[in-house]
Formats: sequence, C-alpha cells, structure tokens
Amino acid sequence: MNQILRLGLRNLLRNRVRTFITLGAIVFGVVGLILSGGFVRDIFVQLGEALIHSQSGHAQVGREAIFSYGSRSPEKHLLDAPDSVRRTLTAQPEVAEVMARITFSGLLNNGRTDYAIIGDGIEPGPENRLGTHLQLVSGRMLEDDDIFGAMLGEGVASALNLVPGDQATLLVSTIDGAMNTLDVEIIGVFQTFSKDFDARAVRIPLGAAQELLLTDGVTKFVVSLRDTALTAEFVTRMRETMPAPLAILDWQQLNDFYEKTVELYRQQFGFLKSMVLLMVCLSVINTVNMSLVERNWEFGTMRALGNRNRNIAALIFAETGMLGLIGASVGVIAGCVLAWIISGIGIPMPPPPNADLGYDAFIRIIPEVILEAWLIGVGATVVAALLPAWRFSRIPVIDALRARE
Amino acid sequence: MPCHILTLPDNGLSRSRLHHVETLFKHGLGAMTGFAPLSVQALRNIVRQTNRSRAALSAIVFGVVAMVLAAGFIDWILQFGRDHTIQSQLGHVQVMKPGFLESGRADPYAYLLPHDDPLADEALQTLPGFRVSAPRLMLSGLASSGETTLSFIGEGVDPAAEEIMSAALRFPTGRNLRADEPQTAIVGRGLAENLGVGLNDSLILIANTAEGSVSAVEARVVGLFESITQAYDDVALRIPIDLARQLMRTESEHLRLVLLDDTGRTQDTVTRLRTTLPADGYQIVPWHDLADFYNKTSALFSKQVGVIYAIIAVIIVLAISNSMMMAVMERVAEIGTMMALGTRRSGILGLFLLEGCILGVLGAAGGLALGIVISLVISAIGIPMPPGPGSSWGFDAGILVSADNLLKAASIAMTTTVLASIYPAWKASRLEIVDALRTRQ
Repeated sequence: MNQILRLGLRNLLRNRVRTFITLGAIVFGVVGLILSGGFVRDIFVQLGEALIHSQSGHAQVGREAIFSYGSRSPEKHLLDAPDSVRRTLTAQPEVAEVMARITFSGLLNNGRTDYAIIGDGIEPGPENRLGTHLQLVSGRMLEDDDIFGAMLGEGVASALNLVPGDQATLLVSTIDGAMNTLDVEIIGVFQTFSKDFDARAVRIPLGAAQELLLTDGVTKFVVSLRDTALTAEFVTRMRETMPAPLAILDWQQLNDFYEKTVELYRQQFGFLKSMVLLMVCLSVINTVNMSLVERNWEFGTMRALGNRNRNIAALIFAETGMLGLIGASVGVIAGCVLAWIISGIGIPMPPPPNADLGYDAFIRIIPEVILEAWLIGVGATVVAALLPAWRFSRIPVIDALRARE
Repeated sequence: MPCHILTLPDNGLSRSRLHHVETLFKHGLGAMTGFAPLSVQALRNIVRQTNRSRAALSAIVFGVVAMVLAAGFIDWILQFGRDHTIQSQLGHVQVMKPGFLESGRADPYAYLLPHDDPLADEALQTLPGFRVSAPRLMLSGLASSGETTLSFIGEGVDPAAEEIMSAALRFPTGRNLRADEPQTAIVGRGLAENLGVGLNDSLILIANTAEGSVSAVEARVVGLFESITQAYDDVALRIPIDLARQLMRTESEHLRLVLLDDTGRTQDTVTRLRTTLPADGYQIVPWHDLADFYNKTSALFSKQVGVIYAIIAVIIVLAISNSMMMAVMERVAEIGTMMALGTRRSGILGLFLLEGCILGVLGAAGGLALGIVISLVISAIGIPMPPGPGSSWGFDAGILVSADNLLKAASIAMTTTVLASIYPAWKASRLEIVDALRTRQ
C-alpha cells in the first residue's frame, strides 16, 4: 500500500504538466462552488437583515391575539404588566435593546378628507437605532423630543397631499370607546419595501399614542439582539419561560413571506448552482480522463512486466486520490482567500425595493458550503478515474503498448 | 537529427508510426513549398487525435450548453416576473384622469373618469392586441357586521375581467368574486377576523357620496383573501364594480387597466391612446411607470443572478482552456518533429490556430444544437418552482432560447478555444527543436 502511494506520488511529480492541469481543474471547480454558494447565502442573509431592520426587529413579544388579529382592536390586546416583561427581556444577555410599541387604527385628516390608517406608537430613539433600513423619502426621522410629531408612509403622504411641516389630525376611538383626536406635525415620510404597508402606515411617539388612546399600556415589545445568529436560541429560551397569554415570535414568523421568498430564490439559484456543479464535474472528469488515456502505453508496459489490472487500478486510484485531496484542499484555501478579498471590496448591488441606496454584497464563508465543495472536488476526481481505469483493463497488452500517440 | 527520426520505424514498433512520419515529412515539405493547404492538415490532425479532440470538443460543447441553459433560465425568470406583475396587478396600460396618481386617494370624487364616453370605449376596444380592460373604482368607508363597525378601504372590480387579470390574492377560505353574483364581497383576512365575519355572513358597507350624503349597500362574504402584506389585509375588501357604483352613487370608475396579448405592444398602445384620447381628460400610463417595486426587484435580481452567471462563465472558460492546453501540450514532440522537418514557427502557429478554430466552430455548433434541444425538453417538462410570496401556487419554470444568448455562449466558447490552443503552441514553438523532440512523455 505504502509502495503504491510512493509510486503514485512519483508519477504525479514526473508528469508535472498533467498534474498541474488536473489540479487546476479541481482547484477552479472547488473555488467556483465556494464562491457561488457563499454568494447565494449572502443574498438570504442580507434579505433577512433588511427585514429585521426595517420593521420587525429580531423578535416581538405580545399577547398571542395581537399577532393573529392584527392592529384593529388594540384595547383588547394590551399587555398586563409591561414593566416586568420589559425587565425580563432587558436582563437577557443577547438583547441589545427593547422597545415598546402600541398599535392603533384610526383616521388621519388633512383638513379636507379622512383617510384610514394603521398607526404605531413607538420609542423614537431605539427604533432609529434598529431601523437602519427604513428609507426616508423626505423630512427626517422622529427623535425623542418630537412629542407631537408623526412620520407617514409614502402612500399616506401622497394620498393626503401632506409634506413635512404640515399639520394633520389623528382621530381614533379610545380604549373606553370614546372618540379622541390629536394634532400632529408631519416630521418625515418613509418608505418600506411594501407599498401596501406604506399606504397605511403612520408612526407617532409612544407618549402621544398613549395620550390619544387614553391608556398607559403597550401592545407589544420589539426586541433587537446583538447578533441575528442568536435569535433561535433566544426565542426558544424565552418561549419556555414566558407566562401564558404572552407569545414571542421571531423575525421569520413575523415576515412570513421571507420563508417563501427564500424558498423561491433557493430553487432559482439552485438551478444555476446545478449548472456550476455540472461544469465543475465535467471539467474534472474530462481532465482526469484525458491525462490517464495519454498514459495507456505506460500502463501497458506495466502489464507487460507482469503487473495485474488491479495493481494498475490501485495505482490509478492512489494517484487520483492524492490529486483530489490536494486539489480540493488547495481549492478550499484559494476559495476562502478569494471570498475574503471579494468581501473586502464588496460587489456593488442596485438598491433593493425598499431603498434608494444600493448595498455591497459579500461572499459568506459557510462551513457546509466549503465541506460540500471539498467533497465534490475529491469525489469527482476519484469517480473520474473509474472509466479510464476500467476501459484500460479491457485493452490487450500489445495494443496498450502501441497506444503511444 | 533526421537520422534519429528515420531510424524509428526500424525498431518495428508500428507501421502507422512510419506512416505518421511520412505525413509529417510531407507536411513539412508542404509548408515549405505551399502544396498541402493548412486547413486540410488541421482537419486531418483533429480526426487523427481522436481522444484529445473528443475531450476538447466535449469541454466546449458542455460549456456552450451550460451557458445557454443558465442565461435562458435567467431570462425566463425575469420575463415571467414581468408578465406576472402585469397580469396580476397592473395591466399593460392604465387609463386615468390626469392627477389621479398624486391626489386621487385624497379626493376620490374629483378624479372619476368621464363615463359612457364612446370615444374612449372605442379607442380601447379597437387597440391591436387588446385582450381585456378592467375597471377599478376606489372606495373607502365603514364596514359593519352585527355590533362591530370598522373602517375599510376597497376596490370595485369587474369579476369577469378579473378572471383574466388574475389578481395577486390568495384565498385560504372561499373564492374570488363571480360575474353572476352582484351582492357579494371578498374581505381581507385580518379585516374579516376583526369584524367577526366568515363565509356567507352579510356585511353592511357605508360610504360618503359625492353630494355629502351617506349611502349603504349589503354584501355577502364569499371569500377571505390574503395579499403579500398583512397590514393591507387588515383593512381591505373588494366588491363587484356595479355594487361599488351603487355605493358611491356614480356610474363611472377611477381606472381602466388594459391587458394586451403581448408586452412588446405597450409602447405603441400608449402612443396610440395618447393621440386618440384628449390629454386633458385622460392620462395614459404604461405599466413600467407604475411598477416601482418590480423595477427595483428585477434590477437587483438580474445583478444577483449575473454574479452567478459570471462564475459559470469563468468556470467554462477555465474548463475549455484547460482541455485545450492539455491537448496541445501532449503534442510538443510533434511540434518539434515538424520544426525539425522545416516547418516555420508561423506555420505551426497557423496550424494550431486553424485547429482551434475548427474545434471551436464544431464545439460551438454542437453545443448550440444540444443546448437548444435540452432547453426545449426542459421547458416542456418544466422546472418546478415553489409559490412566491403572495401567491399560493408554484409554477414551472422554463428556459428561454434567444439569439442573443446563443450568440454570447458561442462567441465566448470559440474565443476561449482559439486563445487556449495558440498559447501552448506558441510556447512549444519557442523551444529548442532538440528539447521539443525529446519532450515526448
């Protein structure tokens, strides 16, 4: 066995050009798989981050009903002991910030027309730190000292012809069922990736919303974590400790179309990735096949000297095995370095639907993707040796000897 | 040196070897005297080197096939996205009153289209490629069921036209509106839950009319829908347009969505409508001015798949170069022999250039043919895709064969083939003849 390995290694060193070209095919293939896999993964990660930072946060805590019945009847869904919930959440190690929201529905009046809206009372400071992906169309973001300011979704602003600086009146039914109004000044107009949402969305400070609804309650807490990767663990742990009527939803549950989008994307990119895979395998098989066929006369000589087919097969597999291992490993290293360099520069991307600014795509270095690429590199190389080895074993020695050229 | 070669046949290894040397000898002479045309030699070489030619050809063919499939798939997805947006939401062209887009929602009664305008009806009906025109009347008001009254926004739609202009709505319960049921409504799931209504319950809809009075209609719920946005489903409903007109006390509508049989006709249609309809009464807006979301998504998606396509193209270029280099490198000894027999460096480069061209053309042609066949087969079978956000059915993707993609794939493959065959030949032709002759192995 040892001897075969040594022979194989010598053969590889002797046929330097063939070895290099074959290694080249394997290395390029593995690099291609790592880059394409890492890039597709980056698309999913960036889409997730955009959702987290535009509306939903990493997780939300509220009564179960608020998540299924939505925004229409906040009075039924106020949290019982908001302060203790907030304390529990803030105490968790993963949590970066906890912010309260109160959701209400009502009418916005510009002096001429009423327009039905869905409002959110928010805490401007932490929301601004979370909402890095909320796109301003005009004006500015709400700040903590805008006590009676309001931000409008783009659709609301254009429906009511309101621009920053204008006054408008909010009209809602309070928690007790009476009607209440509040005059607000428009501070800014924003855009999310959903036109339907923008056509109805109004944000005012939490304090103003509580005054409007005559309550001091909140409907839910939005949690932002230090790192998106911590979400699953955090949510699972909180779900176990959360008292009965409370529910906690992670960002994937809050944006139920994320999963569908990712699934569709995965299928679409899957087809393209299968093209990459196909080309990688074909290229490796082609090269290995060619370099072995060129050596038929050499194997013929070995057989003429008394070697068995299985000795030759062992030699072939020792050689291609070594080639595969070396090529795939070099490919992994080259792929990671390239991914790192490309990520350092960034691939400029046009703006996603919720933004006016483009972003830089990266190539994520994902262990599964790397392992998969490595296995494919080694596997394709060894499998590629099967056919020429088998074909050779059926050639008479004399023809093999003459196969030169 | 010639001695060395001429003694080779004497060792009795093979007769074909002798024949080969003869051929080479003739080639050398031919190159010197100009008898045997280079193209014939190149072709013979390709046929003689069965194994190497096969390996190089398969690299080229598969490369072209992969490029044709990848580019065709990307085009198909983009076109599908475009047609889907048009079919389910926008129509190819929208006809509205000037200013409706900016301020129509705030002051709905001021932006109704003139009703019963025979000129407009005829202009739409006689459009080339006209399929259907769907009216839309925007509503807002209060919906009431039992004790509960909530505000809503809604649209009056023509159920018959909606069947063709299939809206991007899912129906977890019930179904869409039908033309023969005038007093019905479909309600957003969130709004229905908040109102406490289910299938076959009745709703009272109340709205302000243009004169400032209040009117009401009754409608039976036949379906609960979900759109892509929960916030929209919490406030929205749809009713047949006749019922909506009755509620709004009007005979007209805000929008007409025109669906054509071919997206390519959009621009012509816009121009034609703009000349036939008076500009002060009608604004004609093509779909791409309204599809901000779609435009951005498709720009982003093209870039994303573009990166993957670039990776595929690079792998293909490398694969072809790899095979070609190997095939030529194995023939360094042959190059040495040719030079020993008097072929000039330029003759050798010319020969390999021609071989590269022939292989490139053959490979590209084979690749295109195979690529088209596979595209057609895959399109006929369909690549199953899961439903996108906002729709409940998956779809079968296909592969779009376009002259552009075919040309691109063929030219990338051919350029690569020629360049990759010349480089090693050029390098070999710079070797000392003695070294080149001894490189065998």
